[in-house]
Order: sequence, then structure tokens, then C-alpha cells
Amino acid sequence: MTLLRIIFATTAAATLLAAAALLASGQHMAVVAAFALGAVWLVAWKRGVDELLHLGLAGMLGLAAIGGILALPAAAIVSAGAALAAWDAMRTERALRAFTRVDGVEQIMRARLRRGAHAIGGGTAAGLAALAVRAQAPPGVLSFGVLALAALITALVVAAAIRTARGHSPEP
Amino acid sequence: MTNRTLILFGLIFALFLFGLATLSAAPLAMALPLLLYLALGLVQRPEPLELTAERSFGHERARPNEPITVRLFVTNTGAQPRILAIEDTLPAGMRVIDGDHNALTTLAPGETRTLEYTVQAPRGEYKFRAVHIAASDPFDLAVRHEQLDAPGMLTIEPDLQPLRTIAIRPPRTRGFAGPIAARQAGSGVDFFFLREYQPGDRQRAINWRASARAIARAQARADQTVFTNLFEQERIADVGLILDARQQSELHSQRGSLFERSVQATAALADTFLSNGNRVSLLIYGGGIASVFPGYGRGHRMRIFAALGRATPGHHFVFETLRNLPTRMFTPQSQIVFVGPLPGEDVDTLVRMRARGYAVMVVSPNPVRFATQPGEVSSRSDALALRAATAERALHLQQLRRQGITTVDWDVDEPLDTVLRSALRPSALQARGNIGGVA
Repeated sequence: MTLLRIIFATTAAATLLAAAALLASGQHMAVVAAFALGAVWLVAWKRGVDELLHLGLAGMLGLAAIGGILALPAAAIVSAGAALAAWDAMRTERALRAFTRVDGVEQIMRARLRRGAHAIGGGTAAGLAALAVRAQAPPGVLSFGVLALAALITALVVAAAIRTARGHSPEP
Repeated sequence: MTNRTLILFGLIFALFLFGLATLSAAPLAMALPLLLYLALGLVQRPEPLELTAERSFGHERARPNEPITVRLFVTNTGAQPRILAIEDTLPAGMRVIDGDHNALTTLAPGETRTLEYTVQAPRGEYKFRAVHIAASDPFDLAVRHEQLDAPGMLTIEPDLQPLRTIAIRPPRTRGFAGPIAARQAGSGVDFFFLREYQPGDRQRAINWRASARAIARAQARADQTVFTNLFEQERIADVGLILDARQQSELHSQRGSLFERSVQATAALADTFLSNGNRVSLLIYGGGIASVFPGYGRGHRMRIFAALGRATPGHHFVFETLRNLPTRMFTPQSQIVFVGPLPGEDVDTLVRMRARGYAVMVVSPNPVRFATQPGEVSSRSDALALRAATAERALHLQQLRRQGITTVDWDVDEPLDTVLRSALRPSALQARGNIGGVA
């Protein structure tokens, strides 16, 4: 029941936030599309259509991105986090249902939700922080190009750290 | 890399492209939750699994559709706790009627998890090979699949219809006491013939009536004789069972499979002959040759039933006819029992076996009746075809009987025991002019 509540709450949150971002920019048709997408997503999850589940995530992110660019970046980022959480919860529910027997369901659920909260919550917070830092910075200091370069360098450093932590030697 | 990982990579890439195209930071920031989610999943991807698996069965031999309990034990021998998806791969044809053959489970170091389920299966040999184990990161982004060896074999033996003793009389018997009349005088219960009294004969064996008649005649002929009853020895015999497993002998109808009936008949005959102490061998002739060499007792019964459990109809050009039947496998002048629907081309080979001195019995499930449903023959052409097939089969059986081969035409709707009792009655055999190989 906890998982079902999470699915409904996160789907509704993602839909509402994406709709809010779009509404702020005056894109009324896109708002309708966001709600329709949320509804289709839930139906796909209920009916077990995996392809629509993935498309739902992609569509919701796309709509939120449009809304963010046009008017409300913060709502778009939170919407992205909520959409990811909904997608994760739906897949968890599907995975549990695929087995006729689940031992230690509480333990599995707790571990999954905790790690999901860490990853998605941390990512959302990082996204919002990045936006806030950029807004506070003097013009030109944190330009788009600088941010993109910083993101690339960070990604390379993190990848190297992961490989080292897992005992892989650097490639020649 | 799973499908989900690719989708996440695609979304992140799309958001980056979108941000670059619009020169907006918002899509880049939106990609951060996805990036962190993906990174955490990949960092925590599972190490090589250190697990062992074992399997046990409630019983390793069973009858068709008898419930059998399968237990699978999976132990974590590593140092890391695991969340594992365990799926036991079932052999084809087997179905689970109770319990779970797959599970999502947590496994602490040193902990053992047991999957217990009940299966049913038709006759056959079922080999369990490996257990599929999947371990993944917390988000199912990097999944490690492994196959753990947990071999096991389950034999579903054919259904057994108990038969009463079958009277056979092969030309040669073995040296040990048994139920088969040996055509030799000795200790037994059936009268064999009379001979003159010899010193050492038991007084109880003297036939006083015959002796009195002889004495009466002796007064006239000045001759005096006392006669002794001699009895026929009873010994065990060699019995060779041949199961016809050629593809052309298999037939399916609403009644099921004709081959299955042949297998059941062979099992029942083997059980009866072995119960009577005979030495029984089995030859399954079809897609290849499978044989069980002659033997006695319960262990041998299990070997024969296991071979029958494995038997399947098959095709091989060499074994299309019975001409390549390895008759050397059978003891000379022993009893041969051929079980099969008897295609016409088999008659010559069976007659040849009889000519070589074997006592041959043919137990033939009737394919014509098996394939014909009551009320199914509606058209004139169908009725003619049925008559022709019936006449052809009757002709083949008659050819066999004329050569001294005992035939049992088995309508599979009737119990085999009843049919055998009826077909092997001495009066029935005499009426058909068939006494070869049977008392």
C-alpha cells in the first residue's frame, strides 16, 4: 500500500508541477497534454505496458523542460525528480509483482525507497542549487558554456572515481 | 546494460542536447536527478555472486500426474548480503501445481533460502539443470545474471495396470524353480506322464489306479508293473519384451496416445513377469535402440521402468522395419513378447523369430479402433475404409497365429488384464488353432 501511495503521489506531483511550469508560460494546451500524459502513464502502469511506462517518463520530462525554459525552471526540475520517482516506484511494483513469492518485502522496499530518495532527492536538490548559484552569480561568471564545461569535467572525475573505487585500473 | 539504463542515458543526452540547443540551463539542471540516479545505480552494481544451490525431491520416481515436491536450497557463501531474484528453470512438460519456483529474496551471508514447490508431469524423464539467479543494483539498472548448477533428475514411470499371472511356455527355461512349466519331469504340481516304478520313487507318487489296471492285465500276460506319476518341473524363464517405439506406430486420437498405451502394457507385462521370478529384458525399438539386459528382482524392475519412463517414439531409417531387430540380445528359445500396433511389414520378421525357436507373443493395441470414435464413421467411404483396415489387421493376426505366434488384439478401451485373460485361455487358443508358445 505504501508503494501504491508513492506511485500515485509522485505521478500527481510530476503532472501538477509540469502543468504549473507550463501554465506560468501560458501554454494551456501543453497543460492539458501534461494531465493527459499523467493519466496515460497511470493506465499504462495498471495495464502492464512497459513501453508506455518509459515513454511516460520521457514525455513528462520533455513537457517539464519546455515549461522550465519558458517560465518556471524550479518547478520543472522538481517535476523531473517527481517523474523519476514515479517511474522508479512503478518499476519496483512491477518487479515485485513478477515474482510469486517475495521474501523480506519490507527490507527490500525500505532499501529501495531509501536509496531512491537519496539519489532522486539529492539530484533534485543539486539541480535547484545549481540554478540558484547561477542566478546569484555575476553575469558572465557562470555562463552556459562554463556550466556545461564544469558538468563535463565533473562527469569525467566521477567516472574515474567510480572505476578506482571498484578496483579497475585506468585504461592505458 | 539493461533497457532501463539505455533509456536513462537517452533521456540525459536528450536533456543536454535540448539545453545546448536552447542555451538554457534549466534542462541541464533537470538532468541532474537522472544523472545521480544512474550513477548511484551503476556504482552499486552487484559484484560476482558467491552462491551455492542444491536440489532435492520428495521422491525421484513417480507415476504420471502424481504430485512431487521439489526443494531448492540457495546459500549465500559470500560476505555481502544480497537481494536476489531466483528462478528455477523447469523442464519442458512439467507444471507447478503448488508453491513457488521463483522468488525475490534477501540473503544474508551464510544464510540459506529454500524454494519449495510441487510439480506434476506426464510420463518421461525430466532433467533439472541450473537455477537462474539475477542480482541487481537497487534501481535494477545493472543486472548480473548467473546460472547456478543444481542438477537433478526425475523419472515419471508409466502407469501400472496390475495383471494376473500370464501363462507362457517357452521351449527353454532356466535352472531355477519358478512358475513356468519346463517340459521336463521333476518336482512340480502338474501331471506330466506315467512311467514304471523305479527304486527310490516315493510311494505317494505311485499311481495305484493305473498300477491296478496293469496288474489286472499282467495276470493274463504274466507281467507285473507298478506305475509312478511324474510331474512337470516348474522353472523360471527368460522373457524378452520388445516395445515398438517407431514413429509410424504412434497414433493420436481423442483417446490420447497409442504409444502411451503400448508403454503401459509393456510396464504391466514386465512387472508381472518379474513378480513371477522370471528373468526379463527390454528392448525399445524406434528412433534408436534402448535396451535393458536380462535381470531379476526389484532393482531390475526399477531399471526397466526408468527405461520405459524415458521411451519416446522416434524415427530412424535403419529401424523403419523390424528387420534390424537385434535378436541376439534374447536368449535362444526364450519367450519374446512384442508390444506394438503391428504394421503389416512386421509380420515376416515375427514369423522368422518364431522359426528360429523363440516363443513369440504379440500384444497389439488395436490402432483401428483407437483411431475410430463411435458414431464418427458417417459416410459410406469411411465405413468401407474402416472395414478394409479391420480386415487387413485380422489377416495379419491370422498369419501370425498360423505360425504358432500368440496374438492378443487389445482394444485399449478395455483393461489389458481382461483382454489377456480372455485371449490366453487354453480354450480360446485351441479355438483359434494357436497353441504355440503358450500353455
